[in-house]
Amino acid sequence: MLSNDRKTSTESTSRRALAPTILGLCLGLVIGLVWWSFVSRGAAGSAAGSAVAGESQASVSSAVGADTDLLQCEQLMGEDATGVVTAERDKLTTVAEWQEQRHAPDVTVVSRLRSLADRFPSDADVTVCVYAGQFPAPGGPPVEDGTSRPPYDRMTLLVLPDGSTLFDSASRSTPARPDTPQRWLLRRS
Amino acid sequence: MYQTQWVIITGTNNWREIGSGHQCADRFRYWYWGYGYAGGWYETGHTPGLTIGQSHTFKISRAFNGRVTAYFFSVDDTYKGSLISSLAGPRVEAGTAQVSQTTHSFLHYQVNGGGFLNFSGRDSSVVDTGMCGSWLADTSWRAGEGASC
Repeated sequence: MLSNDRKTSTESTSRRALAPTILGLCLGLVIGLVWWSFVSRGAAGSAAGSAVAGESQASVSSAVGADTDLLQCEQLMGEDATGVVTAERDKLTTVAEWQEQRHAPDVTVVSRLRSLADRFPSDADVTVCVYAGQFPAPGGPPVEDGTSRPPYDRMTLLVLPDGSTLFDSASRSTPARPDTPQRWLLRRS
Repeated sequence: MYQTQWVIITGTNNWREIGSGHQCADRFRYWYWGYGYAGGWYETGHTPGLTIGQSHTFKISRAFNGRVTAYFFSVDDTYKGSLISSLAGPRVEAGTAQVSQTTHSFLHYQVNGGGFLNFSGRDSSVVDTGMCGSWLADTSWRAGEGASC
């Protein structure tokens, strides 16, 4: 499934022909669902402002810093864990607003990033990483016919200014690709 | 593995969920809560460090103020988080999934602040490959991994 998925043309500029291993999935889940998994990170933070790589690179021009964002997202998972389909850098307050309002008015929440105000300024950079793979996050109730759902094939993580990570969501690439703050802002404009 | 419960909103692609997670050969244990929207899962919070063998009460409460609906997540009556929703939903159902090994879920519900009532009936159960599960009673479900049931 993964290899076919990666043949779709609109996705990553950074994909690799990688199969998710059990170790890789485990690592991803640990990073995503348990925030104590801190990571080493490379050259991040050199770019100013918002930067986007991957799925939406074509729609957001001058992807300053995109390569470093991409590198940061890739380093989270290691060489053989999964593929990065989007790497995007935004301000912390933008990411918080996105988390809070992306499903409004159906669902409105208070972003966990708000509770980090004493650790990071609101204009600090947060990198949004969207990965392809198989991610067995909580899947909700069985569908109406009693069958199980397919596993999620996208996972979104946030890389905070200190390099720690926070799980955002797990979703499926169909019928719609995962949302990001930049796509949300474009929809609103 | 997850031991979880949910409230279903407007079909099974939209739900509220709270539960326990065990991952990576049980090295990581945590409670989590959040919501499902259009089939995706959006975690709104979690707490690490749960202890095997302890019993806990998980609760999803719903309140309506005449304009919007709020859902509250709690564990052992300690508030964990909330969300606001404009979705009234044609139906609200509650269910549970349990995949922690050889422990039991006890199922109760409460309506409009009344006393807790036992679930009745066993409308649906799904056991995935590699897992096992069985009803002990209408209010008790036992599940595990492999043949541990």
